[in-house]
Amino acid sequence: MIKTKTTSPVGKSVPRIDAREKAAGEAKFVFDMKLPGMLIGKMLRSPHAHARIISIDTSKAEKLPGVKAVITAEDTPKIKFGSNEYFFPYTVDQLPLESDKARYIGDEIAAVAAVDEETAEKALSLIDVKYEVLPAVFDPVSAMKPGAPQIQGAMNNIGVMLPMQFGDADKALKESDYVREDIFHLQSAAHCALEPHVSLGQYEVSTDRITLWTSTQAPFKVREAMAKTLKMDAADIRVIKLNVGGGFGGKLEMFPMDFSACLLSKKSGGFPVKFTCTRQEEFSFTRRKHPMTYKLRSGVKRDGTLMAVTGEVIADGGAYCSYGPTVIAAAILRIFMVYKIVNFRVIGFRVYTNNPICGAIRGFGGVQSGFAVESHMDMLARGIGMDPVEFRLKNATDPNMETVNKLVISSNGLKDCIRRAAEACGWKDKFGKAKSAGDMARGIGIGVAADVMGSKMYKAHESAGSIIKVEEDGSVYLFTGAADTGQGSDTAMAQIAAQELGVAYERIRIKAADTEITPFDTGSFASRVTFISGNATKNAANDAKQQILNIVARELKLDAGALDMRDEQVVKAADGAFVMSFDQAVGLCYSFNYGHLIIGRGNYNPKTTPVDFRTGYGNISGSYGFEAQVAEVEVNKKTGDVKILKMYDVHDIGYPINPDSVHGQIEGSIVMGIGYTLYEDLRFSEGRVVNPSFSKYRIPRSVGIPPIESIFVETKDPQGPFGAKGMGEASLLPTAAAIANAIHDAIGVRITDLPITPQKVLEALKEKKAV
Amino acid sequence: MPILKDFKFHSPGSLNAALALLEKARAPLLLAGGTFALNYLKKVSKYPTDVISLKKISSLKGIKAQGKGLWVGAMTAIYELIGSRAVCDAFPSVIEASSKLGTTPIRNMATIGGNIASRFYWVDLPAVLISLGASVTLATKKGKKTVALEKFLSVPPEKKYILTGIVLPKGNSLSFYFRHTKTAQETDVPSLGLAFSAVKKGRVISCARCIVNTTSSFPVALKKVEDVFNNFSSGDIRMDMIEKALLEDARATKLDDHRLHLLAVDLEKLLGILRQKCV
Amino acid sequence: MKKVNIEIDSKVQELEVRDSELLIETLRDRLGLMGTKYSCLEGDCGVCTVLIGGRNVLSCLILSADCDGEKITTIEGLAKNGEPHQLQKSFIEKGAIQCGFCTPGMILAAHSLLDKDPDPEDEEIARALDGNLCRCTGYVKIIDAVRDASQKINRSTKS
Repeated sequence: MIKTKTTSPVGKSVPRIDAREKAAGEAKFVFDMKLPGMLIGKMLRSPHAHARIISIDTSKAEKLPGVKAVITAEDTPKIKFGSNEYFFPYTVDQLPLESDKARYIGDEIAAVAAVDEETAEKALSLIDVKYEVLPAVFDPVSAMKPGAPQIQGAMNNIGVMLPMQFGDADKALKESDYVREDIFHLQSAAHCALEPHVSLGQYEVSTDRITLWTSTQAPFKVREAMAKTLKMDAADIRVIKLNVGGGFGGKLEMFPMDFSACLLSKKSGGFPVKFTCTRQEEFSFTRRKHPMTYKLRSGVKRDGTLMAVTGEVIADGGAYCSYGPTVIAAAILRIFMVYKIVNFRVIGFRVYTNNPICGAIRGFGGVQSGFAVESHMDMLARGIGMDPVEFRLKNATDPNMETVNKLVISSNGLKDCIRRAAEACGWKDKFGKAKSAGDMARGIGIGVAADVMGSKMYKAHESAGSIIKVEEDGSVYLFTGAADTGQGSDTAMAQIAAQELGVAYERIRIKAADTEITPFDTGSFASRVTFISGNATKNAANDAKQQILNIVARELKLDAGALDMRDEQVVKAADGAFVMSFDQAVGLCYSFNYGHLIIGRGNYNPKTTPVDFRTGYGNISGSYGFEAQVAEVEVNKKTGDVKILKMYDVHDIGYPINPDSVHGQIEGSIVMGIGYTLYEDLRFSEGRVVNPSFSKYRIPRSVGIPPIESIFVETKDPQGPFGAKGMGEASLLPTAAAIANAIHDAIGVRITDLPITPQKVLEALKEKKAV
Repeated sequence: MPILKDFKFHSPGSLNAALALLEKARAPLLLAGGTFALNYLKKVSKYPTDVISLKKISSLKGIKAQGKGLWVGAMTAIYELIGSRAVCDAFPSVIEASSKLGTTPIRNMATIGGNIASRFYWVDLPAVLISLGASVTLATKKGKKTVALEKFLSVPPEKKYILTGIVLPKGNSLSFYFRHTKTAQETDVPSLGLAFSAVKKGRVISCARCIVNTTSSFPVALKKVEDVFNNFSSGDIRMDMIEKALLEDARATKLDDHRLHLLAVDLEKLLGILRQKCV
Repeated sequence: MKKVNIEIDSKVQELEVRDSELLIETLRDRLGLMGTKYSCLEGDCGVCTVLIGGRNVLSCLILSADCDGEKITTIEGLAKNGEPHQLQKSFIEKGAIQCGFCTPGMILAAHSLLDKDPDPEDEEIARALDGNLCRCTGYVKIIDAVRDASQKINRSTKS
């Protein structure tokens, strides 16, 4: 029963389409699923960081009562999978179950399915694996040295090397008035989605087909990898996403447990098999953020003109590539969206080590580069005595420009964002006028960022599709491949569909992310869904609308082009005069004369150009989003404690489909960013995670969250649906630098390695005194 | 699931019944609030045969006047402790430490007895209670006895006892607790704590206790620093005197330079407070 | 096995539970109350929150056998006659729900607060929710929602 009717919902903060069942505790996650006869799956993982697998004997485990299936690499076609097949085909390097070598502590060796968890655990202990332990290497610099243990066969363990060069950097540095070099260290971090990775696979013997329910951000990507590694037709694999309890980039690919759940189900004769990661497994064996060392050497003119940026990025990638190659590329190339640079030379190395695998995580390299670049820019500005806000305004990119590496930037509100952020926080009255009271010192700092909305990862195209059917009773069903993992894309899609079709938001029922019934969509990453899937949905709604209008026009002998639909009515486009109600129009379509089933279809492939990551040339995204962020901090000079007093975020979001949802994404990003800046630190010892729990890996809690002022700059992007841009990640990128810059403003010390702990602040203060 | 392995569960209604069960069981585990014990069971292979809940024993609950001080029943939940007027009036440092313990649901479940009996030397409460000269009351099949908390925590427990309560002696008119975390995140576990208590008569301070929660060892007393504070009445204490004493005490604390620095910061703050209170 | 009488969501249930059964297992596996989640099983995340006697506690650290005679409220028990609780309404309206995995626990923790303190300051709200992790919202809209609910409940009790 529809009680409320929200017409023209785009731009309104309508409640989330899934909020009622989530508030009631009724929303179903794969985590909650149980099927008749369901078995529990468990993974046998390598206890060694680097070891040759000599033999695996599963016979004892198989004989244990209650064990229904055991698999090793010998049960699989031994086909490797990866995440960057399209751009970096040579980085496809992981087997679902390893057969010859284990490359990190946690590498998947075998899997079992048993009647309960206890039996499954027991079975794991009965699998006898003989290893020959190999020398291991845990830091990328050592891994690149000659004679280091070889992990994947890549020369010097360099999985990917990206030398990017434009203009003449050396000449530009020589012509600069001020040149400085800085080194930044960025730590690893974990996604910490509250719903762990869950996979529930069921094989149907009679049809030789598989259904996989998995907590994923990219069901079609999972299906593709499953088909490849199982050597099956994609048509015989159905991947279904239910509600997902957060992803943040950590659920963006097929995991060995997805593969194993299905293969174990097959081997057991069709019993469903469910894997659920423990929190410790989440921290230790899924994916994590790339730790990076950033060396930057750049030059500026006295007037603030940024002449050249050069440098080197070294990332510990862990044992396999995952999304690593594009993470490094994105880390390096992001700077061109923000700064007008023509002379540039940065080389990036993603290095194999025997640490757990690094992959995608919200920000996609941008958090690391955001801290390094935005700290470095602040230091350059200070070096020539220029206000950091002025410095950024001087060098910021403009609308309608092509960058040196051929990014095509259309709408661009970056300078507006910087100006409005400076106004909102009262920059002029605060910057450089650090207020001290006793032991406490206050300071202010700024950082800027930009983001793509989409990026091809594993396919040549990046299309998304939508289908809309309007039933005889006027109900509207939207089928989209877009994968909502909590960010609110289902709601945004429903709003876009309702707006374009001219009906109330509450009419829309959505079916999303089921590879068998919804159109294709690459997944939730690269801040792409609102922009790309949103356009597909808008196109589908428009198609359905035109079908209805054509029939109305035919019936009334009018020109369909002179009609439109809005507020649940068919109206004259020119003056909005009432023609008939939506329900009447639908009734007409389904009448004796017409018998027309209304099924609208739409797809959207963003306008980009081919990108060559070896050179860095090409336009990767259909449009770009921008933002400026300001942090106000208070530092206790005696204890080194940093308190964030307030954050300001001014974001060019094009146009907000759902303002509350957009603010929610920004607030969530900033708080995640504060966690990474001040305390999140996934630490390792000899390849083993030493803090795999929420008590030891601290993430932000509700206490001490600063007020966040979130302001929109509406540039109404010409490509975006109703002018909207993607914005799920950008607000996370400048947070660390804004805070570090504010700390510098407050106490005159520069912290160049995260997290900024009280101890580091004190040590830096001590060093400053000593100088 | 199941998450926990099998054991036999008991919920005796009296202390004697609990002691009898404790005596009979081969490998018993006493259950108070459960926030430590049940978590611990998820991670160990050495398993109890019997879990004895103390929840239904009413004699282990409540906060009562005892002599000049207070007796706090072992099964008093941390939130009850925080809400107690009597504790708040007489022992503010206990409130300060208790309200920083864990999180709201943990404070709703955890008990003071469980906290002490689990021998968490790295959490906030033990240092504070030691600074206040607290003792614990124990029951065994042989009878009841009272033991100084400092001693109870420093020597391994005798087997098969039930901790029935904590005695907070009256007389410490001043008590403060300072804490630091590694991350500056308030909800984080402490990386350092300083508990101070003293008797104040007019402008004279005596019986000063400075107990440091080093979080890596049993709480340590800053004896030399205590001496300095005990001479408070004899004239102006200057920070350099405290710093000198702290350096002498430092050897016993095994604290790194960073933590020693924070300790000095806390002591300076403390000195400031005492100066105000003793004008 | 132990026989226990537990009032769950206003209904007294006579249950037979394993001695070592945790409350989270009884709720999810025995009673099918899937609104209560678990995530860390160590008492750190708060998604397994339920109310016992009105106070928010963690069902992953409680033995069901130890709950004999207790009154337990889960997220499924908050709505009355199909009408969501004001906290649920405010969470929906204020955009406090993203992925929804923390939501049941968060709402119950807020319920416990408003029971004791019907008119909390923002800082008190934040403190009351300190045992419940959320990775999506940054807590801002959650605190907004609790404030909104408290104001609406106070208004309706006054009128």
